[in-house]
Amino acid sequence: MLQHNAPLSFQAVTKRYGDASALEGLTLDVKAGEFLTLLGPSGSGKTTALNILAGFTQASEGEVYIDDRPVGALPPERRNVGMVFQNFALFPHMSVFDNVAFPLRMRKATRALTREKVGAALETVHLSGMADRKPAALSGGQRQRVALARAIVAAPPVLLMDECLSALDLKLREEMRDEIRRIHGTLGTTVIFVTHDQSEALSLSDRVALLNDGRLCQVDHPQAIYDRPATRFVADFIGRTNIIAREAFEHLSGQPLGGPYASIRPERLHFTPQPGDIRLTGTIEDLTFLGASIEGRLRLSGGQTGGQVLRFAVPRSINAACPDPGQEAVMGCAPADIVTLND
Amino acid sequence: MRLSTILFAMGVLLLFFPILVVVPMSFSADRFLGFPPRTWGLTWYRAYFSDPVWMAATFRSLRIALFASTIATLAGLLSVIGLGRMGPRWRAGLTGLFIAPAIVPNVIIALGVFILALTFGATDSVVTLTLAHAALALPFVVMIVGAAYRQVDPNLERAARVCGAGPVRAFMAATLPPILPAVVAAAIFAFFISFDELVVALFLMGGAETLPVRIWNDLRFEINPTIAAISAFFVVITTIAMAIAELLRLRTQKRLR
Ligand SMILES: Nc1ncnc2c1ncn2[C@@H]1O[C@H](COP(=O)(O)OP(=O)(O)O)[C@@H](O)[C@H]1O
Ligand SMILES: [Mg+2]
Repeated sequence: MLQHNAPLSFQAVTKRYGDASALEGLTLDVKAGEFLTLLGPSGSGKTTALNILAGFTQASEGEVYIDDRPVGALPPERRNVGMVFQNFALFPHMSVFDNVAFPLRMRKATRALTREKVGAALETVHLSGMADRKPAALSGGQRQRVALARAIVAAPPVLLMDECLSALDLKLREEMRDEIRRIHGTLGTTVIFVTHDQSEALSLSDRVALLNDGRLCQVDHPQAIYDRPATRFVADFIGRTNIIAREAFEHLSGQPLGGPYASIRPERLHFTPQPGDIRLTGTIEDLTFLGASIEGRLRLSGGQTGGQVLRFAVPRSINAACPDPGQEAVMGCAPADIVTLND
Repeated sequence: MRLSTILFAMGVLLLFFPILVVVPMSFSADRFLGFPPRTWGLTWYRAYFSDPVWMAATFRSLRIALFASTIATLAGLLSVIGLGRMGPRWRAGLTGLFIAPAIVPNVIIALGVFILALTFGATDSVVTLTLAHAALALPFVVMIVGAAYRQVDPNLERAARVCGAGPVRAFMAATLPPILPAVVAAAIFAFFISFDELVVALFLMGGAETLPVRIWNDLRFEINPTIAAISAFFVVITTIAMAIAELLRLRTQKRLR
């Protein structure tokens, strides 16, 4: 059951509560059929953006477009979006079937059509045998699937999900992650997925939009946003990294830096410096053996950089031994792996 | 036995003492009220059910209580919904205002209603009394229904909205079912607040007596065991109804968890 999908767009959307703004001039275009994740720490405005899109909250300024039509004046029930809530928000007094059938009943579908579509939606989320149960008799993962089925049953062109995996335990979360990706693949709906979990964002999305304090920091493909973070916040929030201030960096490398900070990912450091690499000398601290890799810290020695600690993660190789803790070591990093950051 | 147990038993006994006296007295066949009765029978129940004055007062009270409870429940439900949609500061203030009549002594309210009714020439009216009773019951409805409403996940109504339901449909589909037992419980409480109410009725009802007014007037002239029969009869009915209301309230809490 391939569904239609629609592009959507935020144009300079601002939401103020008193003096504080929950969202500040958000401009973002989402292509039809795209899986876009709004990522950011708690309180960064993700839910606010989603609520404005769904119609639960009015924007103070700006406009949201679904399928190139402004929707600011439309109530939620006329926006034709599907939504999965963090706590699932299943109707507790209705059976699974009635929960999933609800959007169809609101659209006055015939009984036969309702039965057919609910059946198909439950099959999509692998819950076919559960139609008569009440939500209270389901596990967390099953409730999540019912919520998903209810959101997609009426084939909305846009699907919104607000932290919908956070309530699940780790194993279930990974399972549902694959499930959501599979469903997006089959349905082709435009998905706006909200999370504060960067690994969820990186693994699921076509593109990630990172929010901080109500502002959009960067939008890009997962790999690009990981490899080329634009600001210190992005580099810090997505994955782990080492941030080196400009003076220290210039002192270490003898090269100028085009911004206030340099970022080096831990896995970009290695113990076999090549000609042309930037060389970092220091003392090894805190080695942790992780099977496939070894992680640890290098305390830089000497001069202006003295005392700064860099994390590293190197693949474990049987041939090349890693120095022991307390030993002096020289690590290398290719200039291409150094990313200049703005504030 | 521990002191707390003894105190608890004494407290319960104190609360139930009037009932323990009234119920045996109602089955007396004596001509005058006395405890313990010397002869037994259903004389006074028969006297109550066959007296057109007592019956008229009873049905008047039932009618008033039914209407007052319906009005209070609907108004209370709407108030709770309205309060729920306000900003936190307005909500706190207005909730206080809604609950306030529950703390004001009934005599004061009775006096107020009476003066108001005088200015509008609406004394001695079943309608005025019904409205006054509805106002007396409103705070309890707001408290009982409000407690349940605050526990309902606000996302339920939003979920219904994105599913395509308008605001009213969404309320009916998502919010009302989980709080319905509390609404029914509130209606039962409201019913008995009106059914029991004497003071306001004394002020407003000269000619047509409600049951409490009839009892009051009867007591002033002679104490005959009809009163005991009526009391015993309504103690049983009230107890059953209140038990149902309490069960419903507990069920709401379970349902919302
Ligand atoms: N109804 C509201 N009234 C006042 N402030 C709010 C309201 N809703 C959200 N906020 C504020 O807006 C900011 C963004 O909130 P939210 O969008 O929920 O963040 P997120 O979903 O990213 O955690 C927060 O600082 C929050 O306190
Ligand atoms: Mg949120």
